[in-house]
Amino acid sequence: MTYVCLSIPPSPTAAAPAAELAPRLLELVPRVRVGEAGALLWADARGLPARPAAEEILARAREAGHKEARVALADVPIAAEAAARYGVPQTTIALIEIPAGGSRDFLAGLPLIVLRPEPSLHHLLDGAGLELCGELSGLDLAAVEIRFGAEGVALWRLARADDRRRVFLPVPPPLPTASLEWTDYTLRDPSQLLFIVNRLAGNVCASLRTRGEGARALVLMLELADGTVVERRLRPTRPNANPRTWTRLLQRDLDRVRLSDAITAVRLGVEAVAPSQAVQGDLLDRGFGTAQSAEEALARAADDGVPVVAPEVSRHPLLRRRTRWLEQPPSLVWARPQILPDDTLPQLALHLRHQPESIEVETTDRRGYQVPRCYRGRDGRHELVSASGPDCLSGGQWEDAPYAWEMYCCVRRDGEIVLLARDALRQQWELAGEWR
Amino acid sequence: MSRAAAARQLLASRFPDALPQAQQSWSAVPTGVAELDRLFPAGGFPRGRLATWTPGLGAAALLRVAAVQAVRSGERSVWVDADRSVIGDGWPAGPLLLRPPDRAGALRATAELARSGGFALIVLDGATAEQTDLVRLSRAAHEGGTALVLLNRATALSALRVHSRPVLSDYAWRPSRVGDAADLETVRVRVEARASGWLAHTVLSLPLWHDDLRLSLDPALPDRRGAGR
Repeated sequence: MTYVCLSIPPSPTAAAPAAELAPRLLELVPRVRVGEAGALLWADARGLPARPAAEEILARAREAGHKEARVALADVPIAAEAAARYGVPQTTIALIEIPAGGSRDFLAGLPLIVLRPEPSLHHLLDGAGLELCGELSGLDLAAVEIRFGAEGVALWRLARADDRRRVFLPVPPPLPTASLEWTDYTLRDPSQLLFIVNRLAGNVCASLRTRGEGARALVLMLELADGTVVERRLRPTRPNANPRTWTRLLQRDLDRVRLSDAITAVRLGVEAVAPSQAVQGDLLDRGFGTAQSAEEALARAADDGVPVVAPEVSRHPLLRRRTRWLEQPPSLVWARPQILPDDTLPQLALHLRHQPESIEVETTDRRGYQVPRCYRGRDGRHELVSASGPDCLSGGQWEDAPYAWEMYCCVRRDGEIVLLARDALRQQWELAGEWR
Repeated sequence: MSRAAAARQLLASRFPDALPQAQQSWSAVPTGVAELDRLFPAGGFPRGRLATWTPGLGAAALLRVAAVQAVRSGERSVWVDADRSVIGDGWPAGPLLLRPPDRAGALRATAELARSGGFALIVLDGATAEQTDLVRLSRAAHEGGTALVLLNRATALSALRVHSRPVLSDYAWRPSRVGDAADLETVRVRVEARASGWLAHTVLSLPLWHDDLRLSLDPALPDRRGAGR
């Protein structure tokens, strides 16, 4: 890698001259980074003709009014930095090129201060009679470590042009995309569009799998003959590279979209990715082997609008308002829940009807309450052999709406057990649920 | 040689791979209720097969325990609450709960989960499955090796058909101290299992869940704080 380092002396007019110059340098090199104190500018000249690039950078800096700017290029950052910052002794050259492999020799003649040591260490080195980088780099590592410690070793490495910092991080590969466009005709058939989108999704997913990643979001762009672009953004429940999942999501989304004209191009691109995860499990866990497929199936169900839910139970007097259902992530399958002893004993549980059924009730008077004796619902007339209650529940005056219910646990002649509720405010009966 | 022994010998020679009904080759998901495991031909709900339980008293209670038992044994179970009737109070830890928005979603999700092979037991409650749905679900259960139980009246394609009905005469009541109608404490349920060449029944006692969150401090007393009269 070739580093180009531009040093800009402090200016009274510009607070951060390097930061102001950086956008203009991006026209010359692919990556630019502002160094410390805003007076240094790094440019990545990898793969470029380095000297012409450095000359251009210097010219741009001078155009911007930085007449004292100095630029250096080297294959080691510390050499480029030292050259740009301090120049070559006894000269006024504005562009310094250090040949490949010559960084150590270049540094050898420079004073130790170019390596910017800590003041305490610098005093120590000075006391030992070490003034130049070459004098330090000529010492033995063990001797440096014993006398100057870890900081001394780090400086010794720099003096030998062994600079391990990463000025520019590796460039992440571009996110997978796939596209198809037509010039001779336009597309109007939905089934053909679906076929093309499925193929594109297959290509994108294959590319994701080779990278070991899953897409968190895909963007589908449809270019229409009238020049408009329809953009659809899809997000699954969990990041994945499964073409089946994406195909289903795309198909469902395309079912909803209305296009104003025929299609001339389709583009499918990944917007965000997440690394594929592997969970460490227990060999003795019987469910571990199938957890991955269970999670994927739950994610597909959730994408289809059927998520896993868990109850959050409050202390609300009304059963119907007591539970709040919270969506759970599909990764829940990896957890091993604690089973309570009571949960393994069968017990008739109350099931509340999602939509309570209005019923006609014949009642009898008992201690001031109208207790149900029989009722007529959608499935006919039912005699009651017992009606225990009422459990009177009222409240809501300080909430959205007041309520007052009388609940009766009733046993029918056929043995079924039902929950009948009387709305005391509206004088109406309903079949609220049943035990089963 | 007796005629029965001769018949057995003839069957063994004509169908050498056949097994008696009591020695089914497919494995099962135990229910966690000893009486039920003894009642069912394979000792539980058959894996990779469809089983139907006619909706009735005791069905959901016993299936809920079976779902818990599957989790307890290290596997996974799902309860698809198609009619959204499950309440949070008393819902056990372990089985995963799905509340689909409609019947079609319930059937699709059930088939998807059954096909994945990640679940030992799936219970579909509240979605009436027609003939075509049953075919699809049966195939999905077979592909995934899942024991799929439908709370459904149509029993076509079912390897196991279960029916439960109350025995009203054996209900246990808790006497009330205030002279009102007594509270029901325990019910008796007769469970009948049918499979190919198999018919058995048992009677089980099931306690009743009561809402403990009451306004009255004494559980034996009915709440009297309600609408003014």
